[in-house]
Amino acid sequence: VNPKPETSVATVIVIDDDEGVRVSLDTMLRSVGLRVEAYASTQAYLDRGPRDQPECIVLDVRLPGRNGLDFQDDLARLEITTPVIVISGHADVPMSVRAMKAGATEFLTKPVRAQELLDAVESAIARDREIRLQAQNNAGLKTNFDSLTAREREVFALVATGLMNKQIAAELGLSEATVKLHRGTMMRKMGARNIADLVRMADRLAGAARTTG
Amino acid sequence: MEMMAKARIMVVEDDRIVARDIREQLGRIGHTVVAVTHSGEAAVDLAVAERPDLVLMDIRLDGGMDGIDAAQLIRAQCQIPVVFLTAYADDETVRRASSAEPFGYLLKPFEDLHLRSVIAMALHKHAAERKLRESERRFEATLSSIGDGVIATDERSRITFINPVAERLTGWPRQQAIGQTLAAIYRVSDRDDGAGAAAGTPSQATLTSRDGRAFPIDETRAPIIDDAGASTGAVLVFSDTSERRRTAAALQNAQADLARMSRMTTVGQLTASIAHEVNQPLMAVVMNADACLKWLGDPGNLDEARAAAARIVAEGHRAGEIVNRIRALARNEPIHFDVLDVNDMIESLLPLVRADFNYQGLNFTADLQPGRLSVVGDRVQLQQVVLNLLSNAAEAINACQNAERDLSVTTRQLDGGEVCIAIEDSGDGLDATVIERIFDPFFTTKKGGIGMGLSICRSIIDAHGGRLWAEPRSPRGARFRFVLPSSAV
Repeated sequence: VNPKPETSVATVIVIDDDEGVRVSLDTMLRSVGLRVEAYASTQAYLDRGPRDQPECIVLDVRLPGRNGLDFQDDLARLEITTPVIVISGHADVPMSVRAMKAGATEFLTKPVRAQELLDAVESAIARDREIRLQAQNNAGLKTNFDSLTAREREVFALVATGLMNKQIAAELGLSEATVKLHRGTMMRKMGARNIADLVRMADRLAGAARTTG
Repeated sequence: MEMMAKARIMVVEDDRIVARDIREQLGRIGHTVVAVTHSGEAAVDLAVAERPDLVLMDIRLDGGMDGIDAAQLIRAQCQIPVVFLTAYADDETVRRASSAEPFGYLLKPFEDLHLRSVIAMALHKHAAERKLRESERRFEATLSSIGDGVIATDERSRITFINPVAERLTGWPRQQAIGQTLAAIYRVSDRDDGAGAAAGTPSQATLTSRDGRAFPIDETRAPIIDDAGASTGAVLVFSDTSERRRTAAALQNAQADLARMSRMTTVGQLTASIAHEVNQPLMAVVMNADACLKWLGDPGNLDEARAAAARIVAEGHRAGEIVNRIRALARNEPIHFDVLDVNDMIESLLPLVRADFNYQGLNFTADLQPGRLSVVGDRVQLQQVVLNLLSNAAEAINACQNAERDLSVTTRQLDGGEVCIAIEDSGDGLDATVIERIFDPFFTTKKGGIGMGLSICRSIIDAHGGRLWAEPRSPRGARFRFVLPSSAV
């Protein structure tokens, strides 16, 4: 894989308690131009704190203390969405199933082929970029939504369900002209070009509200 | 003498008057005469037919056979005591008469009192002889029926008795053996006299039979001491121990096989851990090699490439070491005792178990006393014991709900120079009734366990001259300890 210029700013997090393995992963990933941060434990990584950069985690499933699968649970609880590539020894089929269910993007078996790992890293980072972009978009949408007045939010919700101005006016006890006015301001504030746009925005807002609990 | 039993007596006397007088005399003193004859030949026949208790025999008789010849025949055929009657006694007659082992002499003429006492003496002596013969027969029957070889010798080391087992083992039948010197038929070599060949203490030797077969024996010698305290010979008891030695050797082999199988089981339980341990360096080799190739590409970085290549070498050796350790545990070699360092023996096991214990979430520590702790032992067998105890300890912790998950191995040299190895766990521990039985074969507290592990551990430690025991640990859990003697002499 030839790392694309924009991939070079991405960082691969290597977590492995075995120094020999950790160092070998570090040099291999660096040899293709990737940035690498290597940690001996999951705790050391968590202590570092979140960074605003695309990354992915390469994780040995067999770690001292809490194992790799428990770590995936930790990530979910901490709302860390960084994709995880799990590396395991042999005879761990049930574990691979668990890892994938827990959200691992890839499950590789030792000794791992370098190309396989690089492909996995590339797609994991691409996925992280996407997740971050979407998160950014969602964040913009939320800002727009927050700028609406209470009345405009009511109009937003009813427009998104597909009601006509006349129906909305009846629902809210307003004149049709007043509804038209609110609707225009609301569409402008949200940056929606048409009703289809607005329906999608409503969906995304509902989805984001669900994920942040 | 008045109370003497009435005896049945035969009189052999060629002078009819003397014969009649004797018959009367015998009647007076309360005996019965069952037969009277004047010839030696007739006397022998009558003795066989009448079975008298006693024969009064005149030495000089009519006919070809005199009293001495007749007495010898009677004695040989019927074991009937004979008292000689004679009017005179020249030296030659007395010598011949003595050879017939008479029970007494009566010089003619004799009085009632004299006759009575000689008869009483003869009958008493005869009864004593009969008892002795019975005792000898009983003795011989006993010695002939026992499973050990028995040889008795006289004071000149000539064989007086040999039982059937001894005949078979030496290859010498009794008829040929009796009278020979012991050295001629009982050929032993390599005698190990043990503690100075004390009487009654068996010594080991090799016996070579008449046809050249050699086999191991245990032998015991006891001198025969007469009333005066002098040795009048010896009794030698010996047994063929080749069967027992074969059995002992087979038993030892079986124990070694069992110990090895148990070791393989223990190693088998570590398979996942071992696979992980071998995969780690392999993974590092593959990654470093790939990185090395990439660093050699364009644009390259030779320093990085060199460092990666050096790590490939190191990781290759690391894989090799792990494989060697596993092979050392799985080898099927005879037990080999050597001076070894207990710390080193345990340290080489740690890489095989540490990852697995970590993965199980156990807090595993190895606290080895600095320096060499030398003992004499079989490295693989001792490793088996340590692995077995560690693996039991891990199971005990996993089986309980305690928050602490402590597992440790400790080595210490005791004041007396002995080396103590302790394996502790923070599991639920062992109650007193279990501690008593935990080393018994086939005793197990585990589901699916066969209960041989600890039993084998104890037999291994016993064979090393050490001790293995279990005790409660404070505040909870169990501690297994074994002590091995120091190698210092």
